[in-house]
Amino acid sequence: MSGSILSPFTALFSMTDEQAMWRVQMHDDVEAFARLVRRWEGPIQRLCTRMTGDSHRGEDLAQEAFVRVFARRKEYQPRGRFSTFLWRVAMNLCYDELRKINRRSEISLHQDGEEAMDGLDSLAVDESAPDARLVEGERAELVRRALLRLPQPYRVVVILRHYENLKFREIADVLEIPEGTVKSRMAEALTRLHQLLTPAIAEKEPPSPRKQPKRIEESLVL
Amino acid sequence: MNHPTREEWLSYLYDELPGATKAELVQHLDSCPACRKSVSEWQSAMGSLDRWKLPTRSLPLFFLQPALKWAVAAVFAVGLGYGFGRFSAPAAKVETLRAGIENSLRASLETEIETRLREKYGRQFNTLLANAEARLMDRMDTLAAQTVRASVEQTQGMLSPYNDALKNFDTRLRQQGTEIGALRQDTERMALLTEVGFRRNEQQLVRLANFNTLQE
Repeated sequence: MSGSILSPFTALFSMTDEQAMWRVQMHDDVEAFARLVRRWEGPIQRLCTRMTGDSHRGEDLAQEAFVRVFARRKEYQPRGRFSTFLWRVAMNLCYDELRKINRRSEISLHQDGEEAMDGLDSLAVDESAPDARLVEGERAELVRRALLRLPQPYRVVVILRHYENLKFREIADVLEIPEGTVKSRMAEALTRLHQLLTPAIAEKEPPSPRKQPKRIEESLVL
Repeated sequence: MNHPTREEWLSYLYDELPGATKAELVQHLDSCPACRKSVSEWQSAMGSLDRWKLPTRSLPLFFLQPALKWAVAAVFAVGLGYGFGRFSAPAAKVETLRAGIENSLRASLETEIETRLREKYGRQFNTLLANAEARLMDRMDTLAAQTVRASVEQTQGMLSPYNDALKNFDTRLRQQGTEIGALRQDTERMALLTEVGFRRNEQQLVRLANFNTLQE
């Protein structure tokens, strides 16, 4: 409530991202940088988590992204938007991390349900949770796995458009590809996700008392 | 029938189309089962994606908390002042006023933060420095005294065998001096006696020679 009263004043004096980054770049202004971190930590963490499918890894990558932005503050070009610069840094970190994971063959889509939940704190389901919540958690897990199945160029488009609500034009700027390509990747990604998820989620509809639910691995035919 | 492209449908689904185009697509959707099927599949996938929600955890930010607090307080106070002035003042050039206030606010904030940091930490720093200096001097005095004492004791300890040896040598030298003196006296006496003996023998030889000569 106080936010709404103060908003005209705060809006009057608040810095834009670009102004804050300019202060960071020219004066090493740590306070302005802290403001940027607070404004962007959520989106960047979510991007990294969804790209890697692991919330702890996402958190680490987000921290690393901000450290890298501060370390490379002199390279920032004030002509572009700060957010574009930041998305790119985070995205490249995710690509590097995924490359490392692939090299070590760390991603295991065949881990059992319990292990799968470890990476998703928000979806952890305790034994006393009601059935509906458990099913919801399993569905979220299906989505996580299906996203990991998508090729990286499709996955990043889905995350930026669907979850982070960037316009197609903005995504094209971040990825430095034509807007039409972004849209066609999005269409292709949604088609594949539909094929992956619809049968699996149908299996997860609240079970009748006599029907035993199948395991996630059985229902998600990938 | 001309179907809209996939790109157009995506813009439609994510509400990025101008009103007129959107209306055309809606109209097409009503009459085209093929497009309706595709759009319905995409919508279904979009609905599934919504099931994965993530919480946001704050990244650790431990720096500049006190300064930020002051900055927020200052911005709030100046903002209130500005708002009051803005409504009570006659028509003013808003942009100029805003620029002026922003500059003065930034300058005053920087000065305020710097002064407070100096006040808070400067005094503590000086006291700490003086204490540390005094303690260091005391410590150095103690250490120096201890070192000198220890070195004197050590030197004395090291020299004591030599002192003893020197004393022994001196005693032996004196004894040897006395012995040499006695030996010299004995030698001189013996030399004297020998010389007397020689002379006697010489005289006897002379007498013997004289006696032989007289006999002949």
